[in-house]
Amino acid sequence: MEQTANNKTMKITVLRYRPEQDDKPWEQTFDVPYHHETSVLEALFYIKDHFEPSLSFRWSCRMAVCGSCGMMVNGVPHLACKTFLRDYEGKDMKIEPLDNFPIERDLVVDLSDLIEKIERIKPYIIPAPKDRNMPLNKSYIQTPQQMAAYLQFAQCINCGCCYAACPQYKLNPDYIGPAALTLLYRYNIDNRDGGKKLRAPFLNEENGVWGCTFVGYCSEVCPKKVDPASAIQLGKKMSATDFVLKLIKPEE
Amino acid sequence: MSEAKSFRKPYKRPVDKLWWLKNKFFTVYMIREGTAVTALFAALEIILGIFLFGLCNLDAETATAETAAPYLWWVQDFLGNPLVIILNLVCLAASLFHAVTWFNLMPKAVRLFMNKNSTELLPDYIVKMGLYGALAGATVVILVFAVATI
Amino acid sequence: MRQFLPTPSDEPIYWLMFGAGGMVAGIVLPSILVIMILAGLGSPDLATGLLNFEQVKGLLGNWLLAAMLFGIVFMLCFYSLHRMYHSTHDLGFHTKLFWFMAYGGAAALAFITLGLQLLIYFKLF
Repeated sequence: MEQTANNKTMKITVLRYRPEQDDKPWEQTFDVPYHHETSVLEALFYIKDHFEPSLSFRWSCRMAVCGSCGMMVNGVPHLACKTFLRDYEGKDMKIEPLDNFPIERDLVVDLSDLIEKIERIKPYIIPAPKDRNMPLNKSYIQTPQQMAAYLQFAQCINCGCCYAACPQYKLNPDYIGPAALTLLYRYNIDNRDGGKKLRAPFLNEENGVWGCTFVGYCSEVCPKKVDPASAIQLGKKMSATDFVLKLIKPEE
Repeated sequence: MSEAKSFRKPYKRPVDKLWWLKNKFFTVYMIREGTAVTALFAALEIILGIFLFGLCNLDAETATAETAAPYLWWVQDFLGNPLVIILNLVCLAASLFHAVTWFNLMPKAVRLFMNKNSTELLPDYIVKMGLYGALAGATVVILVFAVATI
Repeated sequence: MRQFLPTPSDEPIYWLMFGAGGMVAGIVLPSILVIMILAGLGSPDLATGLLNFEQVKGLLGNWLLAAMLFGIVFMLCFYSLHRMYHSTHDLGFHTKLFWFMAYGGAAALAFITLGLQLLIYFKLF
């Protein structure tokens, strides 16, 4: 980093919040040298190493796999590791913690609400009654098409970018939200799964798919191209079908 | 529960009521939702026309300017009012904007495979082309029908 | 452990009607607006010009066309008020009052239109 070829620098403003001292967040600006390959995450490392050792932020894999480094770059949710300073050439940069989540410290947010919601919708394969006693050494059979049906929705890394992009989650924190609803749909359409009934209450409720007004920004910002907006609309179709079927043939 | 003292003090950012002005994407979204107002206006215009048509004397053997006065007011003075024409042009633009945004999002609600064995999904442009085709077809049919029945 | 499960929403009915109405607003409404603009510019009278009295009499007196017109108006009212109700939520007003206003308004407009159309239809024949 020190030997930058053409000594380009960028003015980077970072939102700081230290729970011990501060009552509310404040901004701190740094001049960070960068070159063609500098990512936002590396810029933050530079700030931590050279200017402000107390700056806190989450990171792990540095290659858009772990989903730890989600943050707002100029107001848009991004993974810091796959966002590059070169794309903001000639502009200033403002880095804030992910929107719509409580700030724990500096760029670290409290994602426990997201985690709880993902847990709530039972994101795992629940065997159908006929498979309940299937031996563990016997495998399920799945055609390439059955796999392609859900594979895109299974790419989620739980980074929280879609929640930061979702105005409905901002307005109503009880809304289950894009990532969890996408996983709900992903497991519901998996041919190995038999847990549709157990997930139905979370799909059909007001805070389930019906909390969505199809803004579509979640799909726009998703770093893994999961397309949560699509999964939620398909979930709405699933829920509406359920609803109509129950009207025609009520259970019990 | 651990006995250790917690130093956590999470900061919750206040919700800005003008959140939809802070991001261009959200502003377009609100304009998109706002086109509903113009659709309601168009519906009210039609209902007013039906209402005024009902006020006409429909029992008359042959319609005259007198027996059809309420309807003629609607079609000549109301629809002919420059302000209403401008509002209708705004409604038309809004309706087309709605159509474009609606058609752009529709492929997300359609997830079909090309055939029984393929792993290839039906491409988005086919759904969009179908919708634009429906718009063009409906427009031609309605306009031709309206002109043909004069 | 007893789990408290959320109750299912009745939104699907409204959503299905909203979807149909949105299609109508995107596919059919533009041409209707073009006709209304052309009629406004053409100043039709009893038997000449677009949307003249006799033409509309034929439209409202034909049960199929009248039913289609009612369907379009009903869908438009429902679609627009549903969307406006959700926009009040987006603008930060979370009250059930708007729910009653939107869906009550849509239902009232639908009943008014249906009543008017039936009256006209039976008066004509």
